Amino acid sequence: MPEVAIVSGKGGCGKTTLSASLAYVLKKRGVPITILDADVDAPDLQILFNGEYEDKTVIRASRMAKIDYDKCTNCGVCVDACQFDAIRYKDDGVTVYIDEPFCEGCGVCKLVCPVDAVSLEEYETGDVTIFKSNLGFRVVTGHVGPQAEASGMMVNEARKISRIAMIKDKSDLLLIDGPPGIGCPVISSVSGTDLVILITEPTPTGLHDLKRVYEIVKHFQIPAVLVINKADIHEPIKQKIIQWAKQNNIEIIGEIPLEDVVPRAIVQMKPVVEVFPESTFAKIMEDITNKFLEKLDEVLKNPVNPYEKYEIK
Amino acid sequence: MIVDTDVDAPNVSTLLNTEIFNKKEVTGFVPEVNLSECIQCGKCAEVCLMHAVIAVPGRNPIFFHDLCNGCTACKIICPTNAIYDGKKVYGWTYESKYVIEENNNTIDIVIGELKPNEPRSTTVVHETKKRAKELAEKKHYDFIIVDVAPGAHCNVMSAVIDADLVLAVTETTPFGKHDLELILEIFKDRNISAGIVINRYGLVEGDGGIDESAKKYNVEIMAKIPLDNRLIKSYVNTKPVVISDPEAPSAKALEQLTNRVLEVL
Repeated sequence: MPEVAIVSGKGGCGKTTLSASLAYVLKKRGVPITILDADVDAPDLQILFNGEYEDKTVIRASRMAKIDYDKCTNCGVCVDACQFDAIRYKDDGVTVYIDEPFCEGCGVCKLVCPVDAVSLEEYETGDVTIFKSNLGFRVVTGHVGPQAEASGMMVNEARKISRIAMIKDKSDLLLIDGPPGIGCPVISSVSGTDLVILITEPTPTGLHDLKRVYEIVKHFQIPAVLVINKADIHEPIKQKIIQWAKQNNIEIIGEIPLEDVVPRAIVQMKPVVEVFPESTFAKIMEDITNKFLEKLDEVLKNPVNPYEKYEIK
Repeated sequence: MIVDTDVDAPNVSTLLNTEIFNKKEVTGFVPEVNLSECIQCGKCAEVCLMHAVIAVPGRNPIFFHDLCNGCTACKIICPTNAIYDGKKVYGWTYESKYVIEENNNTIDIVIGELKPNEPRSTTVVHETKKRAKELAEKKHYDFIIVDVAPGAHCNVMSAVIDADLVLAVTETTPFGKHDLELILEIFKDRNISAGIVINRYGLVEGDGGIDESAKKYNVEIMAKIPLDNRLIKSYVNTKPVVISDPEAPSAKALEQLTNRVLEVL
């Protein structure tokens, strides 16, 4: 079951806008799809599809250290052992406490505690919700709890659950609306996908972050295509992006100009192509969809073997 | 002083077009094993909750550094002290300097950068802040402005946890409101003082319900920065709008924001 991730490095480049419109156009053309919002810190995609709640899975895969103060002697051995500065002294300078958001649940404190005062407790990492959109396909949304240092893990769990949604949708394609940045949730969104759509904007930061996120894509040897959003805001940087794409052999499948239909559609909480089917945006989206499908077809016929570089002895 | 803790995508030096210097590695522990001391007991694999060690009885253990989070549990448990400190590079910190040409004032900048394909953003944020604090003390800075990553996850928490004031930047769309409330919820939980800055004000009609969010969380809207082409222009020309185009509507709003922040502090 093919999976395609949409990432940008920089936030605000248009990942969700593109994902939503691409899903809409594909669905209209009869391509069975499912879509996953992998921006588990701040999942926004569901807002655009006004889906009907179908199912929720609570993920309890995180552990956190807990101190039993009846036993604790405040010796401070755990404070020194913790590699994540998650155990500290309170303002009194004596009492130790776990600063929960920083605890990785590794259990080192439990290991070193001389009086067995530390235990590891399971807690809720987050949840994965399946919605049925008004267009018929499922929207899967992962959400990581504020206490959980586990965005990457949540993306992995959400991708697993997306498989169930794909079966229900009889879907051939999972679109993954990725998170910003290049950290663990991005790595989890990109790894093992068949194709990555990079989206950028012609600003110094847009290009800078595009190059960084491409390092992840390259690492996993995944073929990529590029969309330049807000393409008309700065010609010289756009030319630099085009040059960079050429050097890296990345096909540019569309250039979208800056248009006020985008914020206006977001306010109506719908994909741009649905609200403004006559806009330049919508016309370019058709073209992007064509080129995307062509490329997907090509990569599925010529799968990359990631183990090729390893010599089996 | 400015600190860039968006280590996934550090952009302050790109935006101000400054040179970076004084690179330092951010490293963490990974286990290395002295096989002549190893008794193949398998305890290192038992304690590793990251499943980064495989130990089959009667065989030497195999360590997977890609999965290791550097907690040192294996080293602590090893009965023969066969495991010793290895080093893994998670990223780097840098310094930079922005000179305001108009008055020759210098602003020091400290930047953190995550090494691509390393998942440990938090560690790099932590080290960046540590370095920034040292430099700020040495140079007697009154204020440290910390640029933070998007989202609401661990590296955002690391960056804001000891701030005196956090500015939550948003826009008047349902996305803006939704994500704003997520982050305000965290600030409320942690008792962190916050203010709201609405960016691209006028992008759509009305305030997109941001006012409502401000009331709900009892947080002040400190500025409304208008949608302004002159700001985009200064952005792509890598010069802050307040310097290159101080008469622009966005520049004026930023001046007012500065005054308000100083008052509140």
